[in-house]
Amino acid sequence: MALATDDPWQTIASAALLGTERQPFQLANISGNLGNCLSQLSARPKESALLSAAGIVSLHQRVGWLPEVRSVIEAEPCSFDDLPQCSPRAARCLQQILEGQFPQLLSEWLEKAAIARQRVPEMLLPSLLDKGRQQRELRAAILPVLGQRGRWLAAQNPDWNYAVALTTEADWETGTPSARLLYLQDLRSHHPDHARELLQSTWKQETASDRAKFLEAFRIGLSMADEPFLENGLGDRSKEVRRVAVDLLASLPTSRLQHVTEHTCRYLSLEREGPSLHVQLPDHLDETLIQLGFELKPLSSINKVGEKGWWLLQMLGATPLSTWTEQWQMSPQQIIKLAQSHEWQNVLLDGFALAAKRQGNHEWLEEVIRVWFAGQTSINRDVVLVDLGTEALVDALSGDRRNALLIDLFQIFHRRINDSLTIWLLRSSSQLWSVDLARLVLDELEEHLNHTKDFSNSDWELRSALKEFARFIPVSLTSEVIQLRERLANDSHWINSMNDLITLLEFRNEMAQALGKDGG
Amino acid sequence: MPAQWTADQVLALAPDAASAKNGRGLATRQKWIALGQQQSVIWGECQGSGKNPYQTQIDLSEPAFRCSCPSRKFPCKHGLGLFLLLAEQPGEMVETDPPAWVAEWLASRSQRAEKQAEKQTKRQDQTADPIAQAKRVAERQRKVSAGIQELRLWLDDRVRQGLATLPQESYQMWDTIAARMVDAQAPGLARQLRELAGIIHTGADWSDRVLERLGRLYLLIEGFERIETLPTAVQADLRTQIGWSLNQEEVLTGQAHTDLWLVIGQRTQEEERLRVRRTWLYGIATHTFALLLDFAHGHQPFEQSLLPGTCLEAELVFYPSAYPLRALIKTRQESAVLPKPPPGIELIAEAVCPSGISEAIATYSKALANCPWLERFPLLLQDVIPRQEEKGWLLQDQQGIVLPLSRRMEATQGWQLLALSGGHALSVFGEWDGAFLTVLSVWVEDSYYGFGN
Repeated sequence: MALATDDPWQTIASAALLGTERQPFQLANISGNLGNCLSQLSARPKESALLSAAGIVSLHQRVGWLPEVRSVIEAEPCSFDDLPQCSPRAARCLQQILEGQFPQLLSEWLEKAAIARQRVPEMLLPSLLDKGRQQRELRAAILPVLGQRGRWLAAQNPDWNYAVALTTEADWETGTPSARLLYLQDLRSHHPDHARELLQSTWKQETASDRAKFLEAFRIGLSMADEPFLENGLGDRSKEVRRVAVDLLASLPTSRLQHVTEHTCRYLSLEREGPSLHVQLPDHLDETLIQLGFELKPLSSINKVGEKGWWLLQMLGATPLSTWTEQWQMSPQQIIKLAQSHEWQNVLLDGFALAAKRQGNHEWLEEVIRVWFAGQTSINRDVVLVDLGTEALVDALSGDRRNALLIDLFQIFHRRINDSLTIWLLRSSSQLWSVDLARLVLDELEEHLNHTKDFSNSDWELRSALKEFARFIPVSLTSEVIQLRERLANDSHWINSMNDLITLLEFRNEMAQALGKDGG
Repeated sequence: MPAQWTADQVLALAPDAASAKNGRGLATRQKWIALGQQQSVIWGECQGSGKNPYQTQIDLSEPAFRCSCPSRKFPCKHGLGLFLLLAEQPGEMVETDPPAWVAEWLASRSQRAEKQAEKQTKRQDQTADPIAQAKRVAERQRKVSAGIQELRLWLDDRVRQGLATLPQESYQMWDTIAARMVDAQAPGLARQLRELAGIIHTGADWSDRVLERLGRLYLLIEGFERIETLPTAVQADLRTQIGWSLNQEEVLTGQAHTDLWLVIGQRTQEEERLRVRRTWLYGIATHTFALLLDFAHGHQPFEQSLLPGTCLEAELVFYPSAYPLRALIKTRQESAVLPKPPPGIELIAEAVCPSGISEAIATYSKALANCPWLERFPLLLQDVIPRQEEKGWLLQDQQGIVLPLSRRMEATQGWQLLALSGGHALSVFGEWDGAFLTVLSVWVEDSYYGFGN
């Protein structure tokens, strides 16, 4: 029979599969102890002989099993010279966050750990690296707390290659897009010119989306030295690349794009009588402007300003704001006021806002936002450019101005705490509130909570926002918040939401202590 | 005081993941109104949702927990939170006289311990009627023998018809014979038959693995049929396999081994509503491994608190076996000592297996030759490096010898192992089943990491 082989197990296994009623079981003679042992089975009924032989041979194999030998891979082990690990307390906070308890606090933990120059303990590295794989926006914050060990580990798993440090330029061409972006960003902050040359060397072979992303990195360390390269970007095949290039050029105080001013002045002027702004919409878009990256068609489908309005808006956005204050001898506040009552107010205000944002002019930016505070109630502002969304504008303000503006929101514009706009602005903060702002919010909140008997729609909104507020209140105010809760009536509808707010705030407090100087 | 409690050790006590999570949430100073400590007892009051704060206390010598909260979990989240706080911020515990509610508990505990000791001596004094006992044994022998006869015929039928058709058979076939074995008072055989049914649909080499297990069952039957002719230790192993286990009182009459035992690894698994905890001990003076099995229903606590990475001074008695591993704690020094720091794992590893994987496997082979029924064998490996291959994770020693890690291990755990090693050698303790190693503990220098739960 072909099935019989030298290996006794094979013989037994094939016989067992087939069944002894089809084929009588016959063990081949084997020498040695095993053979002696098996030969004692020959007198037995065939089923019994088969099963016993199976038991004996498999046990014989198990006892005699030897582990495999492989060649030792000479992999470079991780260096022991590493950042200090965070405290066990801080590690527990991180573990809670990674297990989904307070996911919104991950970036705060990472930021604090990076400031403390501490690294994540080994046991938590895999989960953290996985988080970074799923959520790109976290990556930049994850890198500084990985330590040598984390980067070493990431290099072993292709899923985590975003975290593999590009330590030398030699890897520039072969790295993954995200690792390359991080490297480019880092290089821009130290050696912006060198970063530009590096990108230039591979520019032609990059994909459109990578080109746009890499170009965005030029916001870091932007200078006139970048102008020729950016102008080159104006002729790019990709619309997205052109948009980034225009935006960056317009942010340069003396770029060639500033020649736009002479065009803009043709269409916008001041009439001293009134006084009022005179707007004449352009009837065509000048060829030189098209070469400078101006778009004929509005980029957004919400075409509320029309084609001609769009052309003027772009010109305004590329014109230094000092042009107007100097030429007309007026303050930004006065000019905005005129624009506000104008029939083309959308074009004017968005144009000024775009210029203010690009030129980093906080005074103008604040004025535009104030107009909108005073008037609009809806938070769904239609904008022609994503860059001009309210959130983007408020975010472009410096922290101090932003806090002051929000304080004015209550004190000057008399907005209530349960007003949609207020809630929206408070919850969309990208940084901590100042102590003054936080105290004001708490006062307003207490005032409001004590005077609401029935829930209005906006109260539901406020209630769901309370938990988010906890992310922005400085932890030093924790005890004040607890006192506020204690002053609330016991049957208040707000107790649970306040408790949630306090839970989160206390966790942040714990986190701050655990990652602070004496974090234990 | 020595404060080598680590958060990992504390969390190993949690009855489930939710408790661990909630306990962590309570491990902050702000949650506690009063915190105190006197020697090995810590206590605190935690403000919960109720009017009065919950009073939580821990006797660290065991450790034992008590809390005034209504939770049916044990230890509850308050106990875990308090314990974690001690592990992470020991400075927060103020050495002071215990308040009345703590003192009361301590007094009741020592009373209870005395009572239990009394009960135990009483139990041991009660000698069962030898004639009635012999009768019971003979009756069971008869039942088991009949069951075994039936199983032999059933097994013969399987190989007569051939194993190739097994995948087409319904589970009913296995269930019927397993139920028969339960009736015949041979639950161990029933368990093995049900496990066998599970193998059939697992991968290409199922028939080899089924045949292997059938062969083992057959050897068991053959052994049992001439059990009187075998040495007592072998008899004990056969009875254990059949599920005819000794009761604890009988075991405890055996020879006791006093030692400082290191809790070297632990693993809790849920089987239906029963939680089974396997705790491996290593005797520091006697150089022996011991396995403690504990069972608990639902959220009920395990009777013994055993924290991986700590030591306990205890008298152990092994279940009789040709290769004794399973044991019971006869007496345990309760209040005498706080957990002592274990000696360096290197020293222990040195004593257990002087070098790498091949020596460890040689020990396993010898053990298997003594007791072919060993399912999980304790392996302590020193200087091994984790590696990932296409099929799964491996440990490799300095000589290049590899052992595959359990395929059931979660992916994250493999990466955690690699993260801990950083490409350098580490020490690992785990359970070897003849084909795969399940990692339970890892040491990096003197730090212990639990992988079992």
